[in-house]
Amino acid sequence: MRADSILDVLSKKVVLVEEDDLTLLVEIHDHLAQLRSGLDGPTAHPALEALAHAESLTEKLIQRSADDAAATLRDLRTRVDAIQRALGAAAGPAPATLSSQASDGPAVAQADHTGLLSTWLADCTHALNALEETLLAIESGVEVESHLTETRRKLHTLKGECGVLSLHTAQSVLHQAESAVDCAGSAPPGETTDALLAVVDWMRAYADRLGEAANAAPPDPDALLARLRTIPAGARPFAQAPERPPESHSANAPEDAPQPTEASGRQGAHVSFTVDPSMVDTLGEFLGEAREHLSRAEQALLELEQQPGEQELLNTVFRAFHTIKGVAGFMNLGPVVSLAHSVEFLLDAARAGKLALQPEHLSVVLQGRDLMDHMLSMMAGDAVPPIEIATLNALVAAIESLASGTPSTVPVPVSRDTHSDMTPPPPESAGDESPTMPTARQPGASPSSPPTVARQDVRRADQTVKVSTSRMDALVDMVGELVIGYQMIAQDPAIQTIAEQRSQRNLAMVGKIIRDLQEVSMSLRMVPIKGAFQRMARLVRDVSAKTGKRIEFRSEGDDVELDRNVVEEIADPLVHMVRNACDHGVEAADQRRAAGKPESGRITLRAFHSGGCIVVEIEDDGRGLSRDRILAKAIEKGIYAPDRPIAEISDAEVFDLVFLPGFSTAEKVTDISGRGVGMDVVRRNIEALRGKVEIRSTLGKGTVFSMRLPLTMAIIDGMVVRVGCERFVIPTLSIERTIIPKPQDLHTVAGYAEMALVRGDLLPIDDLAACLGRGQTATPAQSRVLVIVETKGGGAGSRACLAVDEIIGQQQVVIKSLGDAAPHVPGVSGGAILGDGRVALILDIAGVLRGAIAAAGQPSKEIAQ
Amino acid sequence: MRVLIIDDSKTMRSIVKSVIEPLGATAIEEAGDGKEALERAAAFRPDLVLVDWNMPIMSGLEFVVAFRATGSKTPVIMVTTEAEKPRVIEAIKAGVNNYAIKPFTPAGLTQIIESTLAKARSGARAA
Amino acid sequence: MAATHHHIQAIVDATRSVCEMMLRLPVSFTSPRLTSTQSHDVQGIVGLSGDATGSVTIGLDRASAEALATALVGAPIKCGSSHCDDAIGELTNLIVGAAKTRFPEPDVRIGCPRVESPSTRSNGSPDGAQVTAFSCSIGDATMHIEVALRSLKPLAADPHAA
Repeated sequence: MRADSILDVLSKKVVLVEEDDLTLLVEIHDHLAQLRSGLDGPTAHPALEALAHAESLTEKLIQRSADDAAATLRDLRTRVDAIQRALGAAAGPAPATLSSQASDGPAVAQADHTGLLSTWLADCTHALNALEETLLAIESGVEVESHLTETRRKLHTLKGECGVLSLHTAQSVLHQAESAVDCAGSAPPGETTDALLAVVDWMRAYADRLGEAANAAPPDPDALLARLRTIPAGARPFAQAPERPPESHSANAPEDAPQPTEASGRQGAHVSFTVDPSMVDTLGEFLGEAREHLSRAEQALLELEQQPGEQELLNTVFRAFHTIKGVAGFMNLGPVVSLAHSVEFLLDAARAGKLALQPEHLSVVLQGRDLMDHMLSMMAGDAVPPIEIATLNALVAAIESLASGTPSTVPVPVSRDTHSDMTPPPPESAGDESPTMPTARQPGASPSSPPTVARQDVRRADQTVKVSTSRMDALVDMVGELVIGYQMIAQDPAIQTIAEQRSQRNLAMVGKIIRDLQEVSMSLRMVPIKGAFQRMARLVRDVSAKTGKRIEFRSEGDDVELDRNVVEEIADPLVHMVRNACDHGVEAADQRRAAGKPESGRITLRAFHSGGCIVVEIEDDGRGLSRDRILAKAIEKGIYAPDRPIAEISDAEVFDLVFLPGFSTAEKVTDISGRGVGMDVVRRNIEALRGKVEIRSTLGKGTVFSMRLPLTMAIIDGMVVRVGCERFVIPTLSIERTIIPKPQDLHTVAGYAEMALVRGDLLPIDDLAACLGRGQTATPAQSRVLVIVETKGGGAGSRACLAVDEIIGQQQVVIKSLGDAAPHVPGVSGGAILGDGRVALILDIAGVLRGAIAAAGQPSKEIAQ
Repeated sequence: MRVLIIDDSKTMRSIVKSVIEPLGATAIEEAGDGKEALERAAAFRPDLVLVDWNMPIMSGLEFVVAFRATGSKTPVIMVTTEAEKPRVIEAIKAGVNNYAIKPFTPAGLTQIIESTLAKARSGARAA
Repeated sequence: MAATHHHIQAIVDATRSVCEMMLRLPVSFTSPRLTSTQSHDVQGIVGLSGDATGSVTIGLDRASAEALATALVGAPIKCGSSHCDDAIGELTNLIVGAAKTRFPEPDVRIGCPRVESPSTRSNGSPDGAQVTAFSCSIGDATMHIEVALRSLKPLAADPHAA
């Protein structure tokens, strides 16, 4: 089979495969091996590494040794994508993509514009979170009206975005949701918010799928659509709106774009847009930007009504239309250009002082803005009514005539709402109507928004900047280098001998600035934990509704900040623990009553700083953990065998059993917490973050799950050890204990290998120096210190003694990547600068132990002699 | 559900049997090697086969190849100590649907049996 | 080269996991020592071939054999019955099978287990292989494990070997 046909088959299988489909996984493994052997040549092919990596990921799945099979599968898919690109580029024409299989996949993905989709997915998560928050606020009965408007707006925006991406199913779901909001009135029944929350969940599920494969099919929407349709019994103003926007609204519709000037005479003709397929990418960006500009312009226009002469506000509006015109011209969007041009023309006259802005000018500009917004919605594929070309032309003419000082032809703004029934008046009526007829947008008619407040909002929007994480990481990295560089200078003996006070003072000052800089750059990656907590509020609400338990949710320390990677990684464990607390922790109302507790349970999420760490706790006031039952269950399941009388086992040790693999998975599966993931996964996730999780519980009173997390992934707690003249940092988390061995604990097996007897367990002693390929040290074992290390996951060498020459101490070190110059060294995860300025390598214990086992297959020096 | 358990060790057969019985097995047939199993399978028509690898006369791997050659689509789980990657791949290529590593806990084996059956059912529906 | 501490550790780990998962009994080990083969009431032997050759023997007294067989099968078993031999054979098979997946050598194959009483015991250890023995207590039973191994991994791969 030729490479490109193998690739083709491979990419299809990778999309179809599930993590437990061993047969397909083995086939994929074969394809990867075939491709790799085909590339073996005198020079290393760039795709080789990706192939090898993909192969090992597949092997992990086949051997069921992946920590997180779903994540591994996702990773595999990404790798195969990369391989496809690398090989496709080398082989000339790109291999066939999978897009042809997709029936409802995003059009941009089909055109290989996955960039737009992934950008949208990232934003979508935030948008859905915000929407959910708004819905919860509606439920709590606070400012229902304004939150409803907000909900509608958010749904609408999402719908538009889905339209651009040709996610038609999502579009119709969101459309139906929007209609449901419209029908809800000012006091929505709980049913409506429930259904809308279901929409949020559906969208999340879809977004997740899209994140895995750009052409993923949406989840089945039928039940959800039916539910949305049945909500309101009353009138439904949008009932007639089409489920899907007609083709002519689509930005991709292959229609001519009649220029307004050409079509001015044609009554009833509609404005339409043609977008060059190569511009689809740009269109999404353009729509986003244009909307931002328009909302800024609107804000400024409203302020201008209060302060007519304000030049800066005028400039803001001008810039908005000017930019839109420029990009629209580039994209050949005729109608947008002509409208923007007319507004710009008017504003330019005002800026030049040729025109004193009157209320009617502002009013017509606002109309222009609204019509522009309407056109953008059309391009976004929203289900909005078409715009008659005559309408557009009339408005353009009106604006231009006003700009040139002939106000008599100003059309009358009819309505504020562009998306429902806004239809600028036809030209024949324009001249007859009075320009001063009151409208919602009449100058001075919006006293509810004082200009100062509005301006503050504008400014606040400018105060956050989106920066790519890679740039941020690069900055943090470079600051790290700077710190090291500074330390090297400051500790240089030649520098230290400088007695001159001024130099020393300056040096100290630079040091302080650098430390501050480091702190600030680290804080760039910090985000408040609030977002994660909010999701839990929702979870508690859903679970309590499902179980019929009344559970009150509280959170403390929302503002505590954590590294964003940490926040992302604890999301799943949090969900699991909160579910557990709702499902198993808090008792049913009657049980609570019987126990003399308030009927409604309480779950508290808490975040706080403690000793350089962040502690996140999930506390419930439920039944608490029963040590007898945990012990009985662990023993019954065969995952624990007590090694001493039960009474001597501490509570903490007993509670710890909950985290053993196999403890929670086989339990009675409930809809809520029985998801096949056990607490062992929770612990593994948290330990992967170099954190710890423990349980405190009082029977009958409640349980606290306490996670201790590092503030940032950039700093590690470690034990500094000396081996020969080198220093190494062993992560404290990997260390079980350290011992100075007594001679009777050391054993020589089969003549030369050393083992230590530690608490009834025989552990091999590995010379750390030998493991790292530094050769054996001369120090005899008896005078060395043994560090007992462990890695989670079991298997060979999961626990071992590392012999080192000396333990220097424990300290926090900043992790420095070794950079490209030192490619991956087995057993070493990074470097660190110690307090004295010396460099130490940070050890990856799992890697060290793997190295030790590999070395065991080779005879050591002693054997050879 | 009709289950065929193949293992040269009576002990292992009875351990596997104790796991499979609560899962709704209506009939259980045992065989001590691959050859015997092939002879029994024809008449017994199992819905699930659990087979050891390392057996005298005819190994589990040879059995699977021969069993698949008869055209049977019955799910087969290899219950084995052979956890190394090349062995696992070899078994799957021979036609094994899933594998369980000895030693196992009852819960662990149950989970593998259940997921194999679920996968076989959904595969049958799709086909 | 003979059994290294990594082979011993593999067997220790395997024994632990077999005892905990299939016997549900706690296990604790004693120090290993070099020894000549000893005789036991019941012995389960599994041979190894491939990159490492030799054998692993599990020796038990009658009471321990009964206790472990009973724990494995889940029903009372008398020592000396064929059922008991079968159970001890399977126990040996389980331990050695699980151990060999943890050996440093990539390709090791195990034979079918053989259960013997001392009178029929043949000398199973290959010439020149040293026997490493250690014991462990499993619940109330005591188990002796004897490892006679020779690794055939090519020594030439190591620069220090010359």
